[in-house]
Amino acid sequence: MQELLLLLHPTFGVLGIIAAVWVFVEVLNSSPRNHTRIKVAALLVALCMVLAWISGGYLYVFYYAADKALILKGPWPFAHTFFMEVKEHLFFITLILSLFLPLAAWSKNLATHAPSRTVVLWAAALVVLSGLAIEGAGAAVALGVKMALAAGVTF
Amino acid sequence: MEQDLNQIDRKTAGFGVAAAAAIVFSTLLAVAKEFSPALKAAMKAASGHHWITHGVVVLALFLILGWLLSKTNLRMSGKRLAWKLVLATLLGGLGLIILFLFV
Repeated sequence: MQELLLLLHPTFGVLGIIAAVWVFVEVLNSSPRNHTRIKVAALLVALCMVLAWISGGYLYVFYYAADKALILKGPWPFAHTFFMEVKEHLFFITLILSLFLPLAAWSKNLATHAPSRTVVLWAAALVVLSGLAIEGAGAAVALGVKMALAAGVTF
Repeated sequence: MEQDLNQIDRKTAGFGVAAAAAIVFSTLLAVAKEFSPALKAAMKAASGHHWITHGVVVLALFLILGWLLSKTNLRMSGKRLAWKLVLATLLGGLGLIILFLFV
């Protein structure tokens, strides 16, 4: 179960980021023809980030304690004290922006309404940037566990 | 009519402002949790884990505040809302980095 969640959590996160890039590009080239695609992509961002939240949350609440103990005993304790702590809270920012994105994308025809386009573009860009920061922090946490195991840390 | 063309609709404005508020609140709650073990313990007691309570509270704030604000006559330009979101994200993100870098 833990291994499956370890795969699902970053996968949903990356898919959410890719969907946000998709929204950004479609909005840059907004026309009546791609309005439906923008709506679908914005919904995908929200769906992927909610799934990343659920899978990551389950992993964090039920399985992370062992990894945390290893990291804190290992040579990279900051993988938890900084990267994991920032990651687990930064995620809420990305989640809120991801949930807002479809609300903004569905409200007006973006091809004809520049103010709504501006909002959706910025919201999508913020999802991408904050999402990439979270992915990087996740990699640092995983490396923290590896460093501890490589150093021979045991429970 | 021209003013309407330059402004976003009430739902986007309401939920956009609520998103910015929820982002800033989330970081402030993280700061409060770090400095108040009693608050962290209370949040843990509420759901079994402080992080679950944190997420539920922030999500509820976004949805409820967004719904309430979208019922008002809140109107603004797209640029203004975009800047609110950017500022909230920068403040929230930098606040978390500073918090866990020094605490």
